[in-house]
Amino acid sequence: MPKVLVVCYGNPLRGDDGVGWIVAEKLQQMSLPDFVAIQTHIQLTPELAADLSEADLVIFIDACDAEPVGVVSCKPIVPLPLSSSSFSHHLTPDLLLSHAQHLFGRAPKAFLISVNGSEFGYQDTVSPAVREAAGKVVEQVLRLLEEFASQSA
Amino acid sequence: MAQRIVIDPVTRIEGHAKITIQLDEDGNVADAWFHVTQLRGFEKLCEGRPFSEMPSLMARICGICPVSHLLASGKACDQLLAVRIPEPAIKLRRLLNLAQIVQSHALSFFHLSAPDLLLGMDSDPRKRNIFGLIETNPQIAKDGIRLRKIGQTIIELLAGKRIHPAWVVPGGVSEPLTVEKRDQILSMLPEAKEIALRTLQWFKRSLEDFRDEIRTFANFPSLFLGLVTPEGKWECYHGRVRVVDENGHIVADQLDPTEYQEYIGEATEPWTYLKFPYYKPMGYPDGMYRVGPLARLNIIDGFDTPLAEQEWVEFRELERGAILSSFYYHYARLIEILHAVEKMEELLNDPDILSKHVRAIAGLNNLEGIGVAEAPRGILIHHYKVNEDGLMEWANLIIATGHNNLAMSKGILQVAKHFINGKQLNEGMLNRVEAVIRAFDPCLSCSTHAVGRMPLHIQLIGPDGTLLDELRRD
Repeated sequence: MPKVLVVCYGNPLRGDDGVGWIVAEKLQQMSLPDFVAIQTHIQLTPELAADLSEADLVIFIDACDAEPVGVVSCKPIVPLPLSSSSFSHHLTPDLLLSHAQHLFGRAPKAFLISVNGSEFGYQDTVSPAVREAAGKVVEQVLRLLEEFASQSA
Repeated sequence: MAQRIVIDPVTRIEGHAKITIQLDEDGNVADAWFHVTQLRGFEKLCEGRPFSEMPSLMARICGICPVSHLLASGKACDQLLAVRIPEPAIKLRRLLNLAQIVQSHALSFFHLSAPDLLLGMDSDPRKRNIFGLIETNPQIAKDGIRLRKIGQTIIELLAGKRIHPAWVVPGGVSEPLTVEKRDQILSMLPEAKEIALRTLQWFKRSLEDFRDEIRTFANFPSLFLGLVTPEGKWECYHGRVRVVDENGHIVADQLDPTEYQEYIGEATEPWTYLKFPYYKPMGYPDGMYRVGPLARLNIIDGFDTPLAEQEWVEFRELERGAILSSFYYHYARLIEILHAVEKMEELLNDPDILSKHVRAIAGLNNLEGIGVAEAPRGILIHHYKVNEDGLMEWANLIIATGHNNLAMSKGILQVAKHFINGKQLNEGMLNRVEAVIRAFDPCLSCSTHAVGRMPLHIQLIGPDGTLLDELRRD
């Protein structure tokens, strides 16, 4: 059975950075197909590469510090070439895909859905525009799932 | 002319930090500072919230060591309830902490420090990273990921994978362990043990290659502080505080961890947000102490599992007194991984681990609670005060990275004096300055989620503030 992994990440105690967790809650309340798994993380960590390598489609959901606030963007991502990156504690989705490719021999098709945010202080609520955007992210995820299902059929 | 070298930020540690190295008129290193430039606001965030929320809230402080905060918080809340939690719940919490130690140490050793260790401090910085490791030593890279995965899977099996995990609750844990989960965890442990043993053998063989680093990586006398069992054995959950000196002599023993304010002071400096805890009887800054894996292996009389005990005996033969070089934090981490795996096996084979009696129910009985546990990086203290309605009025968290603050700064000074002469900057020597910090595995991220890449930025600044030289590694 094809597997889809939705990786929602960010720190829910840093304002808009927690939008991924709101999206995850919304998705978990829906009746999604069994082949869809949803994960939440405060930050991306190396062992996620193993999960990625076993998926057919991965959708990353994160906030970004950009204007205008509340705008949702969705872009396909591919593994970074090995020689072009340095490594720090901060892992990005394309770096994780590289891990999956080079350690486990397989990187899935992947998308990054970003929500522009502006409030990243110490708070456990997101700004109104970002909260509204969470609904749009869910719609985008559903579109990607539909496309995936029709291509896999 | 006096000059300053600034390394900002330090790469491959959790969070953001800056290093400033002061040069004298002759271009020699005169002093060094380790700055933490981010403010932790968690104590403030807690105020006004119900104490029962604290364990799951605190677990979100950090993406690397959430379990440590979960446990220390749970223990502080146990005190608020004034309950003695059931023994099976203690065992389950201990199991959770051991899994956390495995996954956190694996990240530190395999992903953050192994590139330095395997590829060499002077190797091309573009390749001295996890991808360089994948190219040259794929097995080590895979082992690191596998150990992380095993540790994380155990945590998930125990604490659940819900959006708001709340398995550790005031009074114990919310659900008992099932036979299926126990067996699933047990089935992963032989592989983890094999990886730990294999890595230890490799690391011990490589020590000869790092004689210079061993000699200069925060290798100085200090106190060491951590928890031990009543018998003086390694402990990560309960226990009492022991302090030893550089000769390995016990300075204080079986101190009550909840009375930490009697013997631990916290000094502040204007150039950093991170406080400087010190051992009060010796004053500030003479009361500098180290915590974490190296400290734990220096303070104990041994392990209570056979393989780790065997490795510990060999480890302690490195020096007559305490092991002083912080380079050996890496070595200590590997021994602790091995012990954690052995101990998990022991706990899971105890029938009591499946007991259904895992939670003591009570209302608020105390207005102050202190929870102390050993996090992967060292002793962690959560101290709460609540009002009669159970709402948080005050919190104080002393994290392992704070305990090590004085020692890290001194370590930077030592390594900078040895490897930097002020005449020129090169990647190898600057990486050694960073590597001594990474040996402590500081976790500065508590509450931070980095946005974007974290480049290495080095500035050479004259006494009048003029930028003399600059180096940036993206």
